[in-house]
Amino acid sequence: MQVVILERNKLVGRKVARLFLATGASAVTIEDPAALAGALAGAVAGTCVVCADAFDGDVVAEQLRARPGMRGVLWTAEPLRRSLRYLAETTAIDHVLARRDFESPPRAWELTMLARRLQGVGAPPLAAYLDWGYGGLDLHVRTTADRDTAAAQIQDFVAALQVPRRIAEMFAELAHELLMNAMYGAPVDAAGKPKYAGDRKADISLADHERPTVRIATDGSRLALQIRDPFGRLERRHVFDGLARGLAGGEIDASHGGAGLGMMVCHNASTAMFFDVVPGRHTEVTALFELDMNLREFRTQAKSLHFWRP
Amino acid sequence: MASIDRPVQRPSQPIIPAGAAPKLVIEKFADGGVACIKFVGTIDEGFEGKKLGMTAGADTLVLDLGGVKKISSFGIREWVDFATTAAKATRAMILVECAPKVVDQLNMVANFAGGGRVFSFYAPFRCDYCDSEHRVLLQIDRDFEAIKGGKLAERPCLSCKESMYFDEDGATYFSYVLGQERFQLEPAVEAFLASKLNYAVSDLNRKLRVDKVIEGRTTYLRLNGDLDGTFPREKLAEGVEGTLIVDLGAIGKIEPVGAMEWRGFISQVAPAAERVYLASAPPAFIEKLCTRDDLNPKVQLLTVLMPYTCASCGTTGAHNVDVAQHYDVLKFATAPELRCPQCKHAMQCHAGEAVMTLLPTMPRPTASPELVKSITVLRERAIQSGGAARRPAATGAQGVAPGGQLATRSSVVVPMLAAMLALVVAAGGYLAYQRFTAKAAPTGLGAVTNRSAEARPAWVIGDVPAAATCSDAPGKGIACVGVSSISARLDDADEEAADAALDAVANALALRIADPAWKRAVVPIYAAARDAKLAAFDRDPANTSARRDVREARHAVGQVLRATSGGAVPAAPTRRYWEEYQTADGKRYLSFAQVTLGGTEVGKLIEGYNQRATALGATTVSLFPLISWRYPRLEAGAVIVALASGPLQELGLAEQYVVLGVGGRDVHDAAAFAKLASDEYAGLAEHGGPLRLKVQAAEGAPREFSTEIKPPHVDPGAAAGSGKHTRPSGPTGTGVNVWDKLGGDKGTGRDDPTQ
Repeated sequence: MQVVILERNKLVGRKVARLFLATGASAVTIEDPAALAGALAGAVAGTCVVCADAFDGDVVAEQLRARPGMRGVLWTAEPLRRSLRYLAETTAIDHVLARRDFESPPRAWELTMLARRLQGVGAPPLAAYLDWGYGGLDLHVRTTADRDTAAAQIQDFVAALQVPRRIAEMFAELAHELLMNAMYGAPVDAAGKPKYAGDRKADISLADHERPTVRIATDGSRLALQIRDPFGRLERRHVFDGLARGLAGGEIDASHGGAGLGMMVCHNASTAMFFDVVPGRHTEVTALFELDMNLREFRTQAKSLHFWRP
Repeated sequence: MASIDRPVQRPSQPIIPAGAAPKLVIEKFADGGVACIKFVGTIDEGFEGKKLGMTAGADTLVLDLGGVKKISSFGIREWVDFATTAAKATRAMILVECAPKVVDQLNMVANFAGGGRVFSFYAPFRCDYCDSEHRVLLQIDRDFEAIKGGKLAERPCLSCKESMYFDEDGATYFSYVLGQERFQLEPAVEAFLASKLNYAVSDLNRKLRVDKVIEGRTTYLRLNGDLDGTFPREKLAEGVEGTLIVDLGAIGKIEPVGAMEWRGFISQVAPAAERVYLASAPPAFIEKLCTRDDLNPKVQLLTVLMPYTCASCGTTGAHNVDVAQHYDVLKFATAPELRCPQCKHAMQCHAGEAVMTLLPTMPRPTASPELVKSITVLRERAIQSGGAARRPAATGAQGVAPGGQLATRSSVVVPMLAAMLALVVAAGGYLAYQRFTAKAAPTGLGAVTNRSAEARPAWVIGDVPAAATCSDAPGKGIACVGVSSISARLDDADEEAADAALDAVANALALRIADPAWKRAVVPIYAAARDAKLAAFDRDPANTSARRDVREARHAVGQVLRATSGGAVPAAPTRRYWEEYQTADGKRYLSFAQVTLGGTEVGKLIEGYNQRATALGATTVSLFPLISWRYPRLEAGAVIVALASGPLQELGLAEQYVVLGVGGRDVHDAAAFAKLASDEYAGLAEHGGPLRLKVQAAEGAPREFSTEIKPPHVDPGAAAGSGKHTRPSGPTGTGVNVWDKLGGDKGTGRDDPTQ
């Protein structure tokens, strides 16, 4: 895999290149957006990835449009809503990596994970998001009552870390939100017709083959919540359009039975979201939260977003 | 551990929904035209928003949201249904005690308030010392200036008395409430909150206010607030004759000293008045001040406020019971049966036994039914005149000020307003501080398809994209208007307009700083860069790069201005307006933002940016926001405006360099520079070591200047046994946010490449 890195900060560019090189990719770093076209001149579209700050998203998007098959990765130190335009308009960009500020690179583990996956490695296990030695819970959810119990257990699990109560509540909300999608939104019958999406107030009991899996884990520095449904119906536009609408002004879209603001709730409760979809097989959503920051900083911190689909 | 900053005592029982441990408990209260719905718990898909909204009819609906714990996305939808339905059934909707979770939704979800206005909300505070969380109630009337500043001061923790800090980002957290105007509650709502819900509207409003209406030989007094030592009995008793009606419906707490004053008042007025009638006496008043000993033969109780609950619709409210009409029932210590005004079902009275046993001891009132009916009219007049008296244009209404002074409420604000208007008219020509070219209005955009107000506001005086103008505001203030470029997204346009306005404010401040030394040293740092970027944009507004350069610079200027203004610059624009156009490429937006600073703020800012501090031969001023045009990544620092011989000159520093750090510690402003540099140098002079400064020089990225400072030669023998011990310097344990102490926001995380 060949990576072209457009980064105006030399030190950051160097560090990002080093991370890509560590995964076996080749990397070229440029600082001037005007040099991007030249750097991509001889690149093979299917194996080339262009990376840049979202500030240079216009330039990246322009080059990707001209070179079908090439992938784009953005990073940003700003709120995600500014990057969403590129994700929504350019199908070749599926990833935004958060960074602390313009002088910091994206998180190293996240970048190397991204690099590996762009090279064809499959979805990582939950352990890959956490440091070795983490602890966690697997929760069984079948009914509406199980959903509420699971949300309460997740709140207790987070609260047991002696973090601010608001974080525990926030994660319980996140779990509730993701479970609503996995239990009510995802299941379809043999004809592909949604089974439970029509009435979100109804109590339901899922069959074994419909049940989502719920995992919450932490290594003390990060919290990871992973919810997987066995349907794989989530589409790219659900994520990006939902987020764009929610973050742009919170206009409600009731066309799918809900408020259309679930993605925004998820975004607001996490520092990074990973969506892994294998159509017809599963949708796996992993939400991460950094425990080593206070809520004040969390609100202003840039957030990562990844969408993976074969 | 969590707590709130005031006790909550509410008079009603939760009514609906029933069942064990419901996720959401809803209580309803009503009194006259004011109704309140209180929510406690989780708002999710189970909340029947529309259904509840249809039952919410009232003149003013108060939504008490202090107990909301969680709101799911489906709950949001239900809530918006509720709010929009309820808003249609009411004249006004007020949101009080909004929990942080509610504030989050207000900030994120369009129309979450359904047209209602937020009067009060909780700000989350955290104490890192005892690991506790607290909520502090902010009110839009009382705390507006602090909210506008975007920052809340640290305050003593309610648990351990150490310092606790506001645990949110002010710009984000206050974004919704700053978008609405500052407002005061109407007297009826105020009274409702204060007396029925024990809600402390504010320190001022809780104090007793008396509205007075004289109609022929009848004097009507309406008491509103706590009955305490401020009760102006002498003033009120003065000149009373004929019939006196005292309306007690809006009375709050009754302090012992207030009860004493009341008794004195009755003894004073009873001889002069023909009759004293008490109306709308609440149960607490009856218990404390209507015992056999308290009632003078001339005093009669006309109506009493009794708490009733409707078992059918769940509404709890205080209802006026006409004592004469129901005397034959009341004399048996029984409450009369009343019908619910909402659903017409029979209501149940739950007044306390003490009140019910006192009522039969009262004399049967002798007032005519016409007089009883006239109280409603007199109350309306009193409320209207009282409310008008607190508005600037009112004249002539009489009232008693909070301090208990009887005063004619002719407003002194009127001439001030007239003067302000005159100034605004005088400034109609707009003193253009800022780029304001004679370009045509946006063309090719087609018709306006939507806008945030019915008509373009008067403060929008031009629509040249990406322009900004400033005018003088009254009292030496500044009012700057920024215009966005034509944008595909409204939020982008809003942000760009706000940044343009803030950049204009900074430029206006620069023009007002008269000090030639400041102008000589600071202006050249940014002027060329600013002019060049603006000129490039003027030449080709369609050029993405030029537009981005201007936008990035303005954004950086705005951030520095807010960060360095000490709260003088509001976190959000004073006014906003936008227009939507339908073009061949889809919807396009043009946004306008106005930032207004008062004369005091302007003076404070000018003084702050021109404040000098000297250390090691360098005279510095704090980083001026417009410097961001040249160095967009600087957030704070000290600009060297004069450099005499000394260690810094020897280090290679020069005038117009910006010092960003000393000895690894950040320089926030000129004063911080002087202190850090002096302390660092003094320490090094004693012990030796490198003097290191992080500096933004004329070119390139910030870099470090350092030199080795050698310690003075010390005779070991002389130093031995001196008994002096030095301690490593470092932050002390008080008043410090632990996160800040650890440098949590300064890139020390594990992913920082420098670690």
